[in-house]
Amino acid sequence: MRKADRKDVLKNRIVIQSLIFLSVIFVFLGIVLWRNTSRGSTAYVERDDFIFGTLVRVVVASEKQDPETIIDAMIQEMKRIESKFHPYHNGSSVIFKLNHSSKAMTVDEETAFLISKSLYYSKLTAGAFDPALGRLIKLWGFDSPDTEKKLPKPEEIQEALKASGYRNVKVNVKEVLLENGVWLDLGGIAKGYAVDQAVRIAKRMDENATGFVDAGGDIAIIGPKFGQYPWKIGIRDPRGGPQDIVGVVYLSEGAIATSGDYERYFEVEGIRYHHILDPQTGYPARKAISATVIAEKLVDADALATAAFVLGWHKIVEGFVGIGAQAMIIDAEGNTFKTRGFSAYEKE
Amino acid sequence: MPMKKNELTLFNRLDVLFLSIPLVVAFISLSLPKVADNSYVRVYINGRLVYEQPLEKDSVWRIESGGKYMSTLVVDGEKRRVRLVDSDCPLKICERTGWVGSGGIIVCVPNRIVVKVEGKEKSKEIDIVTW
Repeated sequence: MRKADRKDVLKNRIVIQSLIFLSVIFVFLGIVLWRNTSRGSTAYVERDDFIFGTLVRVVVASEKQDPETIIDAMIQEMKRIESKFHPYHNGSSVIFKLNHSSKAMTVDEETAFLISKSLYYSKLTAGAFDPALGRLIKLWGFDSPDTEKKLPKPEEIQEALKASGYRNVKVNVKEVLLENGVWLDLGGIAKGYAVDQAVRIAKRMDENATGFVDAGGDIAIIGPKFGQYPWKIGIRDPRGGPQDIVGVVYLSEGAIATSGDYERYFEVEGIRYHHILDPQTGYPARKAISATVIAEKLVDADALATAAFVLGWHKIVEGFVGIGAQAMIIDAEGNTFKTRGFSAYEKE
Repeated sequence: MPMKKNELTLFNRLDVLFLSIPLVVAFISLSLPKVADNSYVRVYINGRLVYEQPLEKDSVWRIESGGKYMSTLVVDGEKRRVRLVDSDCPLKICERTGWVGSGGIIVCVPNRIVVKVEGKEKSKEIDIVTW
């Protein structure tokens, strides 16, 4: 090789190798920057509060509004609904007034809507979801976290069953009549409704807000994680520890609720008595140990998860698909059943 | 035609090795999960932080508010986990929660106690649990 050629090749080699080296460095820095901006620049603000007898966690990010302001409004709304529909506290509760009225009462539009919605789910689930079990719930002591729990006598349960059941609730537009002394307890649906309303407020304040509300394990999505990723949601193992899960679903929108026998319960002579009562027997439902429902709104997921827990794996639960919901049931023997379509949420 | 030993090319073996180093370093650093460390145990009553300590330190702490005993926090530093015992609430849900580790939470609704184990978690862990 001539000396001049050799010099040219050497020069080209240094230039090309430097370009490649710099390109690698730039690509690396670019990837690091992209990862940080796409995942880390969105600042999530988180706040806990006790509402509906459980811990409610609100997680919000917004570029348009101060997330704290959004969370203030969301929590205020949930507390308003809790207070309005609390069955056992006097004060501003419409349901308390209804439960203690022997005559028909005219209620506001929101109350009529929620009672009608709960009756819709009662009919859809052949009474497995029942909003008129207030007397039974109070008898068992599941009306409040502070109440002493007790195993009622069989005759007390029969007496309370006579004053229970959604068929005793009559709604005519805004007029509500409770017959046979039944008490409404909308606990199985009001929490979901309240969370949906809170999410609606967040989206009204910033339509691009993201985050979620976790109301004691019942979750509604405000928007995808960092605006682009689905939230990775674990389904708790009903016979494991609090951090053990039996499955994972991915949600960028919508809601998910689980009913289980492993949180609110007491034991007498080794038998577990939990808080989800079978409207037919008046005793805790025994066909499932966990029921998870995914739906567009938490009000639906909440009610359907309770119904699915009472029903166990049943054709009614399989039919949830027809109203846009998916369910996963773990029965008393530990077998897992899923509606067709549930697995679509198990893929990222 | 076979290459002569002293002939110059754009790349030789040493060049390839040299250029591979940043590539390998970049790949390893991007694929490594974020390791859990510096976790703290924090106790909140009514949303107010009342106690905190590193997770790796063994301790037993009585949780009281306004002179009223409510529960006892046990921190097992070696196994990096915490739990509540001897709670005065009716259902003892907080006690039955058992041990929780990094990212875990224990709630006592009647006493409005929240125990959180907060710290950097592995990036692949789940965001929320439905229960």
